[in-house]
Amino acid sequence: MLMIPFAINQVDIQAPVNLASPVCEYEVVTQSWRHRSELLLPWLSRGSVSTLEQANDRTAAYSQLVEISRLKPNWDGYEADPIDAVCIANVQRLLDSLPFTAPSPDITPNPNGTLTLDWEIDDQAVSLEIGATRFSSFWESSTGTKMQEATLDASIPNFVVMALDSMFPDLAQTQPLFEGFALGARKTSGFVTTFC
Amino acid sequence: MQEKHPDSLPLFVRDEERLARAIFFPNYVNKSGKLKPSAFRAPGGRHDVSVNRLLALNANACKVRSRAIALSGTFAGFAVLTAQNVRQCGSDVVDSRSEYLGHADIIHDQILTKGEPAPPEFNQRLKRMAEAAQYFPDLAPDTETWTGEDFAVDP
Repeated sequence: MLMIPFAINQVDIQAPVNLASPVCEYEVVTQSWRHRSELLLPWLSRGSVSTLEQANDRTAAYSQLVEISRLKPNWDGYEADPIDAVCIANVQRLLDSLPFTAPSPDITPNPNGTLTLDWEIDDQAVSLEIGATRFSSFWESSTGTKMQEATLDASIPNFVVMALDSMFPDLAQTQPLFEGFALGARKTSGFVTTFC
Repeated sequence: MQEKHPDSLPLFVRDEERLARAIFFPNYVNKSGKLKPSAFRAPGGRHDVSVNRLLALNANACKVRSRAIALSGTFAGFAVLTAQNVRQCGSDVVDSRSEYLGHADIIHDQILTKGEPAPPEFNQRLKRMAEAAQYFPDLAPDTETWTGEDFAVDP
């Protein structure tokens, strides 16, 4: 499989966005990602089909996040809280930090306004719930379950990195997962805080 | 619509009783048709999760009643599990007929803070609960009557 020698989020390209229109900042982020993918397509097309699938996979994850950011209160029919804007910003940063070759997680909104990210393969599963200031995660594998919760000031727990390395060994050889990933929580400045 | 007389429906929800939770957010079901744990979560500051008692309500009644109390969302189907499934995951089931006869609540031992994650142990228990539940999609969710597989009959 073709390995991309850099994380795609390091490519600094401005998205062609009509700023006169009331486009929410998350649309900008998503369009930016799409634009990056499009620019890389000629290069990607020299690679394997799976490389293109990875580009689509990440684009789908960003689109999923945009849809979640638009959920209104009571979105589940049972008085669910709207999804916290800071939680969405935190998850977006995580997606930005994932190496291009890493599979995107399945993203699920929770009725108390947080987001859960799930990776599942064979007999292993990692679940990472992201809040505004804290995270909570567990990793189930044939050898047992590991859990951790902490504030977002800390880095992603080692066992989550270990789990993803274990689940996706090709990725571990490419570059460490979540390299440089640091969540800003409520300390974010100039980051996305408003949504459509 | 099948409904029982209040006197004929016991207040205590026995372990073998089957419960149906209406799903109003289609993304609570993954691509494989499996339910996600979030389907059994309560909003921030609460610990009650609405379900229907299949001892009192048939599939049509569940759909009519659930849609009547839903504040919004897109009805998709029902998640069906037993009271024992719930209790084995550390939560309880209590009758709440003040809502309507046949309504009950799953009561969690955790009240979650809005915008902050649940303890990982609780999330894992909800995963077990979701794995124990079976999802029944409605083939025509916009109609008044239930059009999916009949989940109200004992398997």
